[in-house]
Amino acid sequence: MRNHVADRSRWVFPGAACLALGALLIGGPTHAQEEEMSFTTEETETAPAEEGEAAPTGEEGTGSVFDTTLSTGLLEEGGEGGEVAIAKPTKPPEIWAVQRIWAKKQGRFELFPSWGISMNDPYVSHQAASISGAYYITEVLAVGASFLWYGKLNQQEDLNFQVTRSFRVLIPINEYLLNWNINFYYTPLYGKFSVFRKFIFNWDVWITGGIGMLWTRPIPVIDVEYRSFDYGWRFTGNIGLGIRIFLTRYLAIATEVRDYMYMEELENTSPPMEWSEAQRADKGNWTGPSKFTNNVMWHFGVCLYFPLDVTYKYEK
Amino acid sequence: MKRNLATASAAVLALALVLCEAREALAQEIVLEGPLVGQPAVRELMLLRKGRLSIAPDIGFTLVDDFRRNIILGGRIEYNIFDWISIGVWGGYSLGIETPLTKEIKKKARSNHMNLPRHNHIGDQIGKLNWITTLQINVIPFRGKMALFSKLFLAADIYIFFGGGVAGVEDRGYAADDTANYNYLNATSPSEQDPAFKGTVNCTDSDPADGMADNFNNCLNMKDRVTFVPTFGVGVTLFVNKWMSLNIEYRALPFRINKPGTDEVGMNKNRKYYKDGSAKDFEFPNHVINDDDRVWHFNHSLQISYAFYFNFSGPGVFKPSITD
Repeated sequence: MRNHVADRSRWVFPGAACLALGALLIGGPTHAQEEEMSFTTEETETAPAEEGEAAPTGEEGTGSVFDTTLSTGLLEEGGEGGEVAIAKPTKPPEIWAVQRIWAKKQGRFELFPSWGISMNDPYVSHQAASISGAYYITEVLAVGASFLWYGKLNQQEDLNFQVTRSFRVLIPINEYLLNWNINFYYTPLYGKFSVFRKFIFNWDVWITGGIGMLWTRPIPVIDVEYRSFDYGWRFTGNIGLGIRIFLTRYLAIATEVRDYMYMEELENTSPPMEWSEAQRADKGNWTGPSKFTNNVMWHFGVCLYFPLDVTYKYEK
Repeated sequence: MKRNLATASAAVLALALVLCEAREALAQEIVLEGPLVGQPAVRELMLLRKGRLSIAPDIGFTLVDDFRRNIILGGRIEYNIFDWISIGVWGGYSLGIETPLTKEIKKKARSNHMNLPRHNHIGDQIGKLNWITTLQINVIPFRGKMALFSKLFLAADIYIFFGGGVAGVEDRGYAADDTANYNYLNATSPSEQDPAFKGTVNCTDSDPADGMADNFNNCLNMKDRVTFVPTFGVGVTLFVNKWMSLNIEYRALPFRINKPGTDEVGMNKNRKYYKDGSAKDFEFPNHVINDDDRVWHFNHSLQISYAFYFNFSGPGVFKPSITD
């Protein structure tokens, strides 16, 4: 139990890892938060010692929480039989205990079915049914894979038609079929929220990155009489940021923004009016130079964790 | 290809499931004794909002912009009645940046009479949000704390807000070309005449080959107006200390505007003019630009602000109260 006695002196800036954020937070670390909210009874999940029964003492001579409590004079001897009564603290305790994490992730498999909507393509709305899985190697680090099905869910926006009609400018547009990725996940940020000070929800934020393949094809807008494109795969890299709020130990609602970056093959926008029939039919003339493209998707869904229950392993 | 992909996906999933069976989640047990046992869920909560006035300069960016990206420089003043509700005013001036689409049109498009009187002046005809101010109510249901890399601890809350206000908008006013006049004069009956046409033509084109309107400013006819704007959104507050916070919020500002400054609404496929009903059914140009061509846009934006909190009474100007 000795490692449960937190050292307040360690609650300082962690150095280089927090430099960027630290620059923003010019007010410095919030010492106030150390004492502004106490742990919940649910987190402790420990019944108080029954009357006439001595409280557990932890390991012998190890400076446990209980030992610390004794040393600060918070426990007093009771009446006959040496009963131990809990006295009201006369001064603020140093640190009572380190709370345990409510929804453990280490050693669990996460399934994240979600619906995705593209956020940065004003011409075609790309929607996707998505599912991703990840295995948490540690509490904060996971590896996994994701799969997105765009299929028939691409939808051309009015803007594309209006720009063509009013400005006589043709914009090359594309549609997607599917996408898979291999990803890593890191969870640098976690916390808990009380809702109107009645209920408590645990949440965390993850960052993710990975590589994969995306099947896309141009939608013909220039010479539709001749052109018909097949899907082709593009290598993609992705980075993202997500947040999940745990409803139970195995269920969380989650949302994620992820940028899928790739080289897109675009339709050749050169006007084919003066081309011969053979030139118009030549597939080599249908596409122009590829362009680096960001497909920013917003996903929302639920996270499921397996095994469903969390087993806590006690220290010897 | 699809079969191979499905096989690979299934293999990854199966491997992950096997791995998750192989281990159990590990944690340490905490045996907590002392005065905290039996206490309520939250105690000694520092009320970082209740009874405090907050002043926050902020900067905002509109998202998913087609013709113009607005950078809104402004601020927000709020009075936090309780820790879970506040009322405030937000506002700002907007600076505009041309989007890649606007630059593309400027570079590639040819002038197109009324819809694009001068291709290299498209920036003059696109709709603009110039300023905005709203009254809003914030509800803060989520209050908590968070840890960054298990080292840096911050108080935080999540809030939702809603309200309404007014915005200064500039977009194209009335414009009509010769075709609108022709259609009006050659209507078979008065009921077939376009009610949007006011009898004047300000976008004449004596040289159709170049596509440019004869009198650019007269054809452009940009109008300033003030319009009602509802607003709502969600945000997160990160308290840097007891009296400062960094806020990041999503804000929606739906209002009607003619963003491209073109004729988009007025006639349906049966050549019936828009009189009432849904504008979505009359998405053919009637050669008149007017109110009908102002369509609803959601106008997403992202706001970042830095707030300072002050007390009116209590232990000190910057010191928040604490619950029992």
